[in-house]
Amino acid sequence: MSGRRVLRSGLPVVLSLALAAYILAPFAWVALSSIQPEKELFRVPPRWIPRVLTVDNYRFVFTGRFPAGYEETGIARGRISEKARDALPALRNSTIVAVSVALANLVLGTLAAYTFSRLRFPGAGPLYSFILASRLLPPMAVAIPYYLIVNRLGLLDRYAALILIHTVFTLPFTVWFLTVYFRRVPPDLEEAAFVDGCTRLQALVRIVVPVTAPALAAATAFSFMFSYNDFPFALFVTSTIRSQTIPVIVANTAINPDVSFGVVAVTVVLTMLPPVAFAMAFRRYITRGLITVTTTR
Amino acid sequence: MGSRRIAVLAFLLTVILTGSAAFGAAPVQLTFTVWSYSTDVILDNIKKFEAANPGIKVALQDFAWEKYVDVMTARFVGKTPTDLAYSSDHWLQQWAAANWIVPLEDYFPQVNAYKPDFAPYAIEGMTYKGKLYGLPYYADTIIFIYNEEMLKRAGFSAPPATWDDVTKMALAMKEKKIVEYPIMFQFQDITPWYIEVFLSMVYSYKDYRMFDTNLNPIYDREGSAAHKVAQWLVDGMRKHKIINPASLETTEIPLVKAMGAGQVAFAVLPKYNLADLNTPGAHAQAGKFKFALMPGESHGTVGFVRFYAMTKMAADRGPAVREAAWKFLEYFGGRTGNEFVVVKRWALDKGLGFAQLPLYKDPQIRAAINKWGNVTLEEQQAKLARAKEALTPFWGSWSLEFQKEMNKALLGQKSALEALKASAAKWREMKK
Repeated sequence: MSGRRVLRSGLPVVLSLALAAYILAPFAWVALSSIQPEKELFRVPPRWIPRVLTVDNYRFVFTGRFPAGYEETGIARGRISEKARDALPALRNSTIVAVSVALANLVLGTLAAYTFSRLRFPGAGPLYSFILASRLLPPMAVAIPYYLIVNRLGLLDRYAALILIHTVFTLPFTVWFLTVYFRRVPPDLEEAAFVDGCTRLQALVRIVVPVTAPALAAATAFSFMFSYNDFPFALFVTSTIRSQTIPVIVANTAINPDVSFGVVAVTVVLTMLPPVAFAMAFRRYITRGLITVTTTR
Repeated sequence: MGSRRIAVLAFLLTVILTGSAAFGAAPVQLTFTVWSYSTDVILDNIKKFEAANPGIKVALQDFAWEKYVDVMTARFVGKTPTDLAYSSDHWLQQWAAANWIVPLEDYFPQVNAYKPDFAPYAIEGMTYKGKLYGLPYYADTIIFIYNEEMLKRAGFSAPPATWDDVTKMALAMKEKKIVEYPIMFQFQDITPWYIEVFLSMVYSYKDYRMFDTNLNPIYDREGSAAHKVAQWLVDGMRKHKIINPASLETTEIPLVKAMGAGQVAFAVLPKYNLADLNTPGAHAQAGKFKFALMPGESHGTVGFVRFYAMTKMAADRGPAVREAAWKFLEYFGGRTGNEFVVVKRWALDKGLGFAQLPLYKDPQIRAAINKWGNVTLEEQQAKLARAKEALTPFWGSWSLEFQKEMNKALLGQKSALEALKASAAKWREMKK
């Protein structure tokens, strides 16, 4: 094989590896930080390959037992983010909220998108534009008004507050995304079902939904990720661990005066696990859904 | 017999009814908001307070320090139930002017009896329009911390007394390759500590005033103390290269950790960090840190206070809530029995400073401070501390503008004087 052919076949691999390293390096760094003692993280010069490994930081988050070096020393204990111990209940809260938002998007988004793609009714165009335009609002512009509404509804520090707000923010994208996809599905399929006696809702559930599964999975994944990652709304409308989500707890852990970076790294690693699992499970559908929608005119 | 039986029954019924009313009376619920620092200690203090006051229950809600003001603003505007809250001299004017928190002495005249116990800078930091708005959670000074071993390796046996000394010693350390950048600051432009650190350096000069008596800025004049400090910082970063450029992205804890790891020889920090830096096991260089009086002409510095405040919402909830709130305030910031129990605990467990001056006579406190610091020097520095000037309702917003402008000078985008002038123009605009 000539040098040029080797270069031609090898270059994409090298570039791909470099890109992967660029993307994954911060995650690897965080993962390695989570299994090192705090003092190792600040060693001068830094060790790129850790020599001292420990599970103390994880044990602290799961059991509350202080890592070595943080135990009572007779003066004052070294700073450690006690807030990190809320990471597990916060993960549960995040998952409950994000799954609820994803399901709300799936049900409401499917119905709305199907309606826009199949039915003609007065005001459909302006309504569709309005829904799309509402997505353009920057979240912080409505943070205080939403806070006041949620407060008036008596929903502060409740899952329902976050589920409502996140659904409002994610639904426009879901409706647009699914409307584009549904328009690709030939109406003949449903018409055959109508002939067989199906109602429109039955046709949607039995015919359209199965053939649009990749798009539904992608839309669900996007709404899940928005909800899971949201920080500003979660910061304002939650106040205790009854409803606080993981981004709030990670922020509380990371930017307070008693921060310990090893423990922060643990919360970050734990935070990454649910979305990674979600993405791995639905990867195939998400990719197919995205490709189809982005190549549809 | 019949009437006797009726009388007995009536008596029993009365006892049952009054008893059930007394036992079944709903406890007073107080909502207490804090920033998330050592919430385990706060919860434990609350547990002890509730045990000592069975009719009162306290619900704790904590928020990230850097988002605390935003969250509290939303809570006050939205009238989210909040009875007691951590506050700071930074925000007192804004919160008091908006009537979100109330002067304690309007409701609890007995609070005035505490004033002689408090450091003057702390009283000033908790006072708005002549009235006291809080009892101190902790109060401290900004101090100059140095790594004694690094200093000795550079050939110096005493800490710097002036800012020129700091430059000279830092250059010597750099030359001897002890550390690349001997000085580091927490100058990320959004951190509330930035302005406190800058002002503590300004207050180390004899003519330290930033504003005139009508609250007009005078710090933007050539040769002012602020100008000298700003120029010293610009020179340190751009000319001498003794100040770590990462200072512009650094906040308090990363700075402390970098110092603990031996990457920094000099830093200007809130004093309680010295306790952490010298905690065995917490840092590689633990035990090597000392503090000196703030370098400069007068060795003055900033004294700041964080305090417990009662909200207008609590005041409006009626006498039972107000009484419970006072018990809470006194337990946490005042005396229980004859001791400042909670304040003392913070000082012993976490090395936090205090405004309650009688605590300096406490042998337990003195011994604890001497393990990581120097109680005599600490008292001396506290006497030279002064509250921040011109704490107006827009002070917090102005400080952010000041920090952004100052960072432009540190980046070389404008001169030190131009940066001061630009921030002074912002002040004048806000004052209108």
